[in-house]
Amino acid sequence: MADYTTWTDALYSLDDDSFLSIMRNYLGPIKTPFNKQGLIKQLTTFLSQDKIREKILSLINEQERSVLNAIYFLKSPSVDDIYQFFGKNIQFYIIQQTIINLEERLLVLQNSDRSLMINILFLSDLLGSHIHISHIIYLQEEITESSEALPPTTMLDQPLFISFLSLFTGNYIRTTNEGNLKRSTLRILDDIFTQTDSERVISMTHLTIRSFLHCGIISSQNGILSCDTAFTDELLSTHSWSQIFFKYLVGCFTQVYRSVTEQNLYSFLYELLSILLQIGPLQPSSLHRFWLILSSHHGIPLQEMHEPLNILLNLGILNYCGNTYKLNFHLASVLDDNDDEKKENCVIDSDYTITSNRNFTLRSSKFLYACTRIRHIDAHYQFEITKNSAVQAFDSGYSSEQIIELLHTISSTQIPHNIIQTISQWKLEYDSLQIYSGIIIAADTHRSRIIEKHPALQDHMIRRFTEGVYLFKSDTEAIWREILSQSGFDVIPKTKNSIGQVMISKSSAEPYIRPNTKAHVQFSAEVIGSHIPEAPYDESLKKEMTDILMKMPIPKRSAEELEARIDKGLILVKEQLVSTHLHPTVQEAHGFDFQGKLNLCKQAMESSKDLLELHLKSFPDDEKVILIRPTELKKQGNEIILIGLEVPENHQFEKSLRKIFLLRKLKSSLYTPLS
Amino acid sequence: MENNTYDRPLIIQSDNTMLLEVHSSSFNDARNDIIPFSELIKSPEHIHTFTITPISLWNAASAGFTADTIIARLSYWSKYPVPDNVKFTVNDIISRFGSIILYPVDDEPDLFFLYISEHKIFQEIMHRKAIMEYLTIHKDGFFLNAYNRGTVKLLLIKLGYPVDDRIPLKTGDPIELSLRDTTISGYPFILRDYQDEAKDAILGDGNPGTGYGTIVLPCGSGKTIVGINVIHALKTKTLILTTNVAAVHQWINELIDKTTLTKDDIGEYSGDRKVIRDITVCTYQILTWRKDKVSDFPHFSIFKDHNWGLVIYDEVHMLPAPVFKVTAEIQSMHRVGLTATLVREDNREDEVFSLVGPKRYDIPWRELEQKGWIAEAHCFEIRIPLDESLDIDYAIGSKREKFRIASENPLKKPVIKQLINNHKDEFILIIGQYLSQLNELAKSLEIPVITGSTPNKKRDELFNSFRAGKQKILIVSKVANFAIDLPDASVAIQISGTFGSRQEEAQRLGRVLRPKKQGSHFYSLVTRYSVEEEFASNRQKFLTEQGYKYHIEMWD
Repeated sequence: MADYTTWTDALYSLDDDSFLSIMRNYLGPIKTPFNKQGLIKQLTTFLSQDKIREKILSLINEQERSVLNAIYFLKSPSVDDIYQFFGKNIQFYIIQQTIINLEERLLVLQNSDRSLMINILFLSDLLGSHIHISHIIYLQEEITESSEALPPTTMLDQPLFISFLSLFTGNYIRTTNEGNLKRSTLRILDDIFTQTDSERVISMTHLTIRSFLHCGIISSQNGILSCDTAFTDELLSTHSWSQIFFKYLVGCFTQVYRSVTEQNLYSFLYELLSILLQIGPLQPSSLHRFWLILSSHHGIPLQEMHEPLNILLNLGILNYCGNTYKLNFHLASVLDDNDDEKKENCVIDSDYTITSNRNFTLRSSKFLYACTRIRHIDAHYQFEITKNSAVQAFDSGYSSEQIIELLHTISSTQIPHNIIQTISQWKLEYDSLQIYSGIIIAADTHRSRIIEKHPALQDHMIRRFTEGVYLFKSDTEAIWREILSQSGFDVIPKTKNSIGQVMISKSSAEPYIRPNTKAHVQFSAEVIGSHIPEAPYDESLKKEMTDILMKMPIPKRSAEELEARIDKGLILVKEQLVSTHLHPTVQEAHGFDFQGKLNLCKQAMESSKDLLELHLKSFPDDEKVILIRPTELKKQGNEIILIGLEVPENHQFEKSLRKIFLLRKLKSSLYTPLS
Repeated sequence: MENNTYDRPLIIQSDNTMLLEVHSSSFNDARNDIIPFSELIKSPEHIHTFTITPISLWNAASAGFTADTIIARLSYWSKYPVPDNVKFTVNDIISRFGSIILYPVDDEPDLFFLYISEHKIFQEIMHRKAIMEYLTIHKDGFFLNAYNRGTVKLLLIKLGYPVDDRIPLKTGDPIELSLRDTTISGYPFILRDYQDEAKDAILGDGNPGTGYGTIVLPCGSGKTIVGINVIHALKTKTLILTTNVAAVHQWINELIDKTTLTKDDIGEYSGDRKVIRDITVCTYQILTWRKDKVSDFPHFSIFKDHNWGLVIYDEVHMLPAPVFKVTAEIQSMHRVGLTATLVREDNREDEVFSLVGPKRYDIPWRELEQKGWIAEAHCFEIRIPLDESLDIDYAIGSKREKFRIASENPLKKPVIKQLINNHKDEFILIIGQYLSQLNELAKSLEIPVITGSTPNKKRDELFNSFRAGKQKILIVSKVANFAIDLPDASVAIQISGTFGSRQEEAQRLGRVLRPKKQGSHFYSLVTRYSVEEEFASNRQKFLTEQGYKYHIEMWD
C-alpha cells in the first residue's frame, strides 16, 4: 500500500480557506462544521477513480508538463528554483501561475519546508508518460550536423597532470604578485603546448595552481610555487588515477562552490560525468537543466554555471562542438577507476628525451615528474632528462641506481648506454658536495663525550664533523635541548645567529576516503530510459464541460467563474458545475477602476499569501507583466504610489496606481508561506 | 589505399614536427615517403624527428609533389588523424609554389616577366615598396630587369613566396673533359649510385626549372665527386667556390686525379694565386675581401667577367652573407650547392633555397654507413679530472677563462699518449682549438702540427706525407675542420673544441668517415665537472641526433 502521508499532511497544512476551497471545488458544497479527515478521505476516493485520473492527466499541457518534470527531477525545489531551472526564459509570473494552478489541480503539493513535490496520488501515472527526462532535457532545439564533437586537443589526463607536476617540481611556474603568470612561464608553456591555444593553456595552468594549492601538492611563497615532492609521491602511491582526477577536479571547483563540502562536490562531479557519458551530446539549455538537477541532489547551490562549465571546457573534459556539449570519451576509463596494468611504452633515446603516448602508469608518472622535465605536449608527450631534473631527483632522495632502475622499468626499449653513464656521473658530482640544514653545536671535550655517547641524542644528530662539532636537527631543537638539560647541561646558550626556521611538518596526503560515488541519484528507468513517451494534451474535456455550462441557467458572474475554472482544468465532472458558494478565483481591476485597484492592493497587503500581478503598458503593443509583494501605499500629491518588492529578485518597485494598466490579486500559493 | 594490416610508425604533431618510430617494420618505407617533403631534425636510436617547413615543402613542390600527395602519404603512415592545421599548412604553403613564375620575354633578353597567378598575391606585392622598386606592373604580373632577378627572388621568398624560375640557363663556354676509369693515383674510379643520383637530381630533364639546387650528403661521402660528375655532365666553364686554400688544393687534386683535366686546365684563385682557367677554384675568403668596410668587393668581378656555365658552392652552408649579393646577380648559370647540413647559424636557409636552389638530393648518414660508403664511427667522450693546480684559477675565472683552462687541461696529455698507443698502427689526427696547447703537444710528442700560419707548401707536404703513410700522426688546428681529404685517417682525437657550431662537429667527425676496412674512432677529451662538459654535452647530442652512439669513459 502506498504511503500517502505526504498527501494528507499537505492537505492538513492548508489554512481553512484554502482547504475548503479545494474541497468545494471537487466535492461540491461542504457542510460546516466539517471533518477534515472525512473530507480528505472523500477527496482521495474521488481522485482515485481511473476516469478522474485520466481526465486530470489529459489536461496537462506542455508548459505544465515541463514544470512537473522540473519539480520531479529537482530535489525539493522552490518556485524560485523552478524559475532558475528554465534559465529565466519563462517569466516568473507565468511560472508562479502555473504552479499555483497545479496546486489547485492537486498535481503538486508543498512539503513542510514549502518545497514543491509531485502528489504521490498521481506519481505512478505520471512517471514514464508525462514525467520523463526527455521532456526537459532533449527539447526542441535543432541538433546541427556537427553535433559529433571532435576529441579535444588537450584534456586533463594522467600525462597532463604529470607534466604540470614536472613543471612545478622544476619551479618553472611562476606568478607575479597579482597572481598572473610571469612572461618566462608563458614562454615555457608556449613551447610545450604546441597543440593548444595559449589562452586555454593559461586557463588550465591557473586551474592547476588553484587545485594543487588546495590539495597541498604545491605551496606558494613570494610568487614561487614549489612542489611538495614527498607529499606528491605519497599521493601517487596511495591513490588511483581516478581518485587523483577527482581530487584535482574538486580542487578546481572549491573556489566556485565555496559553501559546499568536498564530499558533496566529489559525488556531484562523479554523478555529473557518469551520466553525461551515458546520455550523450546535450544542447546548452539541456545541459544547464541537467546540471541544476544534479546540483539540487548534491547540495550544490543552483547558481550561474558559467564558471564551472568553463572549468570543464578548459580541462578538455567537456567539448563544445556544433551546438552541443559532449563529454570526452576518454573519461570512461577514469570513471571506471580501472587501473589495470598498462604496458609501459616510453621510448628513451640517447638524446635524453623520453617519448610516450598517453598510456602512463603511476609508476612511470612518479619517475617522470620527479626526474625529468616536460618538453612537448602534442600527439605524444616528450620529457627530457636534464642535469637540473636529475639533481631534483637526487634532492628527493633518488639514487642513480633507482633512477636507472625506473628507466628500465618504464622503457619499452633498451636504455642508451650514455644515459646510464651520464646519470651515474651526475650522481657522483652530486655526492661530492653535501649541504645540510641544521644547528651546529660546538662543545668542549667533556660535553662532547656526553653528546657522542648519549643514546637519545643520536636520533637528533645529523652529522659529526669532528670531535666537538656536531650538526643537529633544527626542527627537533626543543627536544634535544631538553635532553641536554636533563643530562647535566645546566647552562645552555641560545642559538647564535639562528637562521633555522621552525619547519612546519607537512602532513602527508590525507587518508583517502572514497566518496559515496555509488549513491547515484536514483531515477527510475521509466524517466530516463531511451523510450520517449507520448503525453498528448486533450482539450476535449474542457469543451465538454463548457458545452454543459452554456446550457445551465446560472447567473452570468457564476458562469464566468465556472468558465474560468474549466479553463484552469479544475472541473473534471459536470457535478462540479455548481453555482453556489463560488468564490472568485480571479480578482482584478483595470483601466480607470482606481478604487478597485486600491482595494486589491489593500487586501494583498493584509495577507501574507497574496501577490499582485501588474500589467504595465509603455506602448500600445508593449506590455510588461511583473509580480510584486506590496508593502506600502503612499500618497504623493494627487497620486497614490504603490510600493513593493518585485518577485523573485526582490527589487524595489514603485509606481503610480494610475499607470498600472491591469492589476490582479493572486495567491502566491495555496500554502501559507513559512515566516 | 585501405590497408589496415601495416604498422603506422608516424606521429604527426600540431607544430608540424613528426616522430618516426625506428623499430617499426614500416620505418624505412615511411621514411622514404616523407623525406622528400620534410627535414630530418634529429635521429637518435629509437625515434627520429622530422619537421615540415616552407622550404622543405617548396623543395618537394619543385620536385613535382602536390599537396594531396603529401597529405595522402602523411595519412597513410600516421598513427593518429593528421592534425587539421598541418593539412592547412601543407595546402597553403604548397599552393604558393608555382603561384609566381619567372618567364623570359621573347626578343628581350634583358627583360623577364613575373607571372602572378593569384590576385591577392599580386595585391600584396603591389603594397611592398621594397619589391616594387624593381618591378613594373603589367596585367597578370610584373616586368623586371634581368640583373634584378636574384634580388627580386630573394625579396619574394622573404615574403613567403618562392619563385619558380623558368628562365633557361645559359650554357657558358664549353670545355672538354672526361672521367677516368682509373685515377692518376692508380685506383679504379667508379661512381657510386648515390653520386649519380645526386647529379641527375640537379640536372633533371634539362628543362627550365632544372639545373640548379643543393645536394646534402654526409662528410666523407664524396661530395667533391658529385661536383665533378656535374661538371662532366655539363662540360662547361666552371667556377668552384670553397672554404679555404687547403680545400682549393683538394679540389684541384681531385679534378686532376679523376678527370682528364691537367694542372694547366685548372686555375687557383686565392690569397696565394690569381689564376683563372676554364675550371677555377676560388675561396670564399678572397671573394669577400675588401680594403675596408665601405669599399666594394674587388674580386666579385670574377663572376661577371667570364662566361661561366656552372658555379659550385662547396660547403654552401658556409656561404658568407656578402656572397649572396653577387649570387643574386648570377642567376643565369647552373648552380650547385654541396653541404653536409643545410642548417645555417644565421638562418639564411631561405636565401640558399632562393639563390642557389632547392634541395634536390639528400641521404642520411647511417644509410651510407650501412651501405659501406662511409666508415662506421665509434664515438667516445673521455672525461678527465682537472689538474689540481688549476682548481683555484678555474673556480675564480670568468666563463671564457674557465673554458680555456678546462680545454688546455694538462692531464689530457697522458690520455692522448694512451690513445696513440692504443691505435699504434693507425692514422691519427689530433684536432684542437688553442695554438699554445697544440704547439706544446707537438713539441712534447714530437708530432708535426699544422695551423693557419703554416705555409701552404709546408701544409701540403705534411698532408702528402700523411697520405703516403710516412707520417701517421698529425696535429691540426681549425684548418682541419674544412674540406680536407685524408683518405686513411681512422682516428680523430679532439682535445679542445670551440664554442662551435653543429657543422663543425660534423666536419670533425667527417675527417674519419672515409670508407675503410676497419671502423673509425672519434675521441673527444673533456675536462670533468667543467664548462667544457656542457659544450661537449651539446656536441654529444648532435652526434646522437645523427644516430651515433656515444660512449662516455672516465679517466681517473
